Amino acid sequence: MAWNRVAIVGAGMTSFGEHFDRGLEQLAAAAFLGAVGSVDKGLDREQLDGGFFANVVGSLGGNEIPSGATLANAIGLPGLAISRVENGCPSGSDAVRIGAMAVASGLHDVVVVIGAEKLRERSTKDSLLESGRMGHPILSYASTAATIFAPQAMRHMYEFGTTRQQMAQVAVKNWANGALNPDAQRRGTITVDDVLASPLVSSPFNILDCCPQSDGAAAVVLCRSDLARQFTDKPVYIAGVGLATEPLYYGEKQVMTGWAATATASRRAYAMAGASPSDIDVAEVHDCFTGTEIMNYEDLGFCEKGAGGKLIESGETTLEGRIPVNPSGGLLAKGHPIGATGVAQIVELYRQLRGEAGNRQVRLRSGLGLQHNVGGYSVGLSVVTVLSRDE
Amino acid sequence: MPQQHEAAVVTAAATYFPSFTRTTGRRTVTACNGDEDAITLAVSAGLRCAPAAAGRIEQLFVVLGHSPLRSGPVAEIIREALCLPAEVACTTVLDDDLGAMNVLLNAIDQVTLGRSGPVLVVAAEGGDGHSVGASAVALLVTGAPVNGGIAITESRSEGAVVYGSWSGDNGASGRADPRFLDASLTGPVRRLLDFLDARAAGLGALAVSGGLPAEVRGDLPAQLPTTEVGDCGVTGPLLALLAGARLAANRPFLCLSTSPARSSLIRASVTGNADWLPETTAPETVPRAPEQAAAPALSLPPSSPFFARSARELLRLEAGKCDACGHIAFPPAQRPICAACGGSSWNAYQMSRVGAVYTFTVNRFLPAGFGDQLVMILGEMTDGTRYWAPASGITGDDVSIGLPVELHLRRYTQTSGIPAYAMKFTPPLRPAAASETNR
Repeated sequence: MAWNRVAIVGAGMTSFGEHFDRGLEQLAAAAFLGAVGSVDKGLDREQLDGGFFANVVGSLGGNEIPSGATLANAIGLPGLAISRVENGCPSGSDAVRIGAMAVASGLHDVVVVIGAEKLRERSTKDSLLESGRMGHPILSYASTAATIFAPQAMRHMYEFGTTRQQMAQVAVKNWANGALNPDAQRRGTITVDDVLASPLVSSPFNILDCCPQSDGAAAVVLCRSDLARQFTDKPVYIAGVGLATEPLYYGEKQVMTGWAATATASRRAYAMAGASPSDIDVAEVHDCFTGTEIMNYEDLGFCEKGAGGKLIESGETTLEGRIPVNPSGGLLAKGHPIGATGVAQIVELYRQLRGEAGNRQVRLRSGLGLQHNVGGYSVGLSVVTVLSRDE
Repeated sequence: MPQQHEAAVVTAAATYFPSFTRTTGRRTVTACNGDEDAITLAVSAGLRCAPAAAGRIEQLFVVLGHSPLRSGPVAEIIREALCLPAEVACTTVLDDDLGAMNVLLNAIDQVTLGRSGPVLVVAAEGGDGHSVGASAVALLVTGAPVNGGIAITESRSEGAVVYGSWSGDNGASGRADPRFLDASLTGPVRRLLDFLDARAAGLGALAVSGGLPAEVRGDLPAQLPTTEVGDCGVTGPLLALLAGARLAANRPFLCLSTSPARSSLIRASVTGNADWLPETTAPETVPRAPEQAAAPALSLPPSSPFFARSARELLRLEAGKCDACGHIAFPPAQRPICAACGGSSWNAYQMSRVGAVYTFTVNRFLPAGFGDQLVMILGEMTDGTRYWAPASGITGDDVSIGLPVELHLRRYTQTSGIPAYAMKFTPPLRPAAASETNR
């Protein structure tokens, strides 16, 4: 095929958290400058010929409904070809996937992909109110982020004996990783008992089983792999991408102990990369809730179906383990500014695969990293990306 | 010479009582759950009455007390939820305490004269939470030939301009002096009882709704078994009819319905066996405050075109079944192409309403406008389909995977004044206390 291979040559992000003093445009611009500034041999703004903008909640209100033009103006490049991507929680990773397709196709040579979100423009209760009022008026009645992930965790506990302690261990691990990440929203230390003693949100999840609501932005620069060496001697390559959808409403889903979309998207990404789960050195996965990470282990092939609880218990997904998961702190500790999340996962893997992740650097063997999101309003889609240190 | 018609009779009946009571002072009444109302009660009773006859019903007469919706598609919501076709003609009467008896007599006349096929009469009283209890009754009126039922042989009523309790468009309302009301009923009720000869030998019962004047009570023949239904609002006359039928066994009985402005008396009898007559008092109820049905406005209001397109699927729990491969799709309005085979020809399919909890969550952190807890259930139904809905009458302490549940129509919200209805999971109801006469 005549497709171009695609390289990442720059990556940057704002810290995630409550940026009450900065708006969507300022966060997006800061991530953009971070990504452009990170390019080892420099990047002239004029070399960018396209962009993709992941943002979700903007559609629900704010100073305007964001579009590609919002981002183009925020980064001082009105005129640049930019599309906005809104595809639920995987918006950021899908924007990277679409950016990679644009470069692979030859339509663009160098593109910037920016995800940015301002969730804390509203109070927590208000943004939940919005979510309870979205979607199908009856089939999505009273839905919140927790209710669209909790029933699977309840069923997983019932079928496989997964425990609340095992779920709590996910939060403990990811907070410990987040404590090493200066960009993380939560940088404390918690224990299993802290998680189990925190207030119930939506069974089985307590407050500390949930990711926070965050503001933040992240950006990466993608280019044709044959141009990459102009920008850096250590590019990271997009080896495989997979997007999959699944039956939407709960009554339609066949799989209720995980997400069929994750399993399908990962198969597609592994096949494109010519890799298997055992080849992955490090993964950034969608841990919006603790139980979600456990089910992701299984859907991504890191263990057998039903063995996710045992995997976290074994310690194999810690920084020192066989397959470190969420070295950045994940959504649980780093934060979850929805449109920015997938892009920030790519930012983390870019740094890990270049060996530049500081005191949370994982050990590299094959030089492959995996990124994963799952979401959409009724959780009907997943994106998986496999990155490679080697071309 | 007038043509002789064989009189139509009531051949099936069902009652429904919500499972709560509420006590104010010394008075205890049955009360709705926070998400039940006259409309859902009407559906609960109607679905239990002669489901096999649904295809033959030509008219639906609805009498509602304390309805949450006072104009608009009140009867159509009930008709659709009862799975009756669009061609079934609907008539609605609101807040008339004798209305149910009047529409029953009207139904019997129409069917007797051959002007209508079977008529389903549904009366549902939402109650006021302190003096009027909540209940619902459904009766099926069928023409000859039948194998028995409740036949009404005579009827008479008398009215007077007496303000008992009233309300006006300007919000003014009031109640009259009870001793005045008792006195003003005495004459009319006495004349009605005399006219239909309450002293005749062989009467099996006198059933009363709305109350007997004190003086008349003292006049009644000592041997006449008497039963009174409590303050049941618009369902009173029909509950009294059923109570009289049960008490009288196969002897003729009288059924008196009083209201301040008009009283009505009928003579009736049960032919054939009487085993099918339903309970006329509330089964076990729990004396706790009804759950609050707090809920913010829906993402689309019930008045939006969306609800018109979705009415059948939401009110009937009607899925699409693929003509080619049998795949079941819900919600059918959003699934025009079969996910299993790509076909796009569908047949209506009634999803099962009985099943067990497959998984659930107890949500304690709800968007503003909801109560402080909401149990959400994914049920696995007996036909293998699954359905996701909030629970009603099931708390976080009650719910577990495997718990038997049923789907029943409940109100989702009344924010902005318009109620919206769809299915919620409830504990299994008692088996329907009703069936049709043998036919």
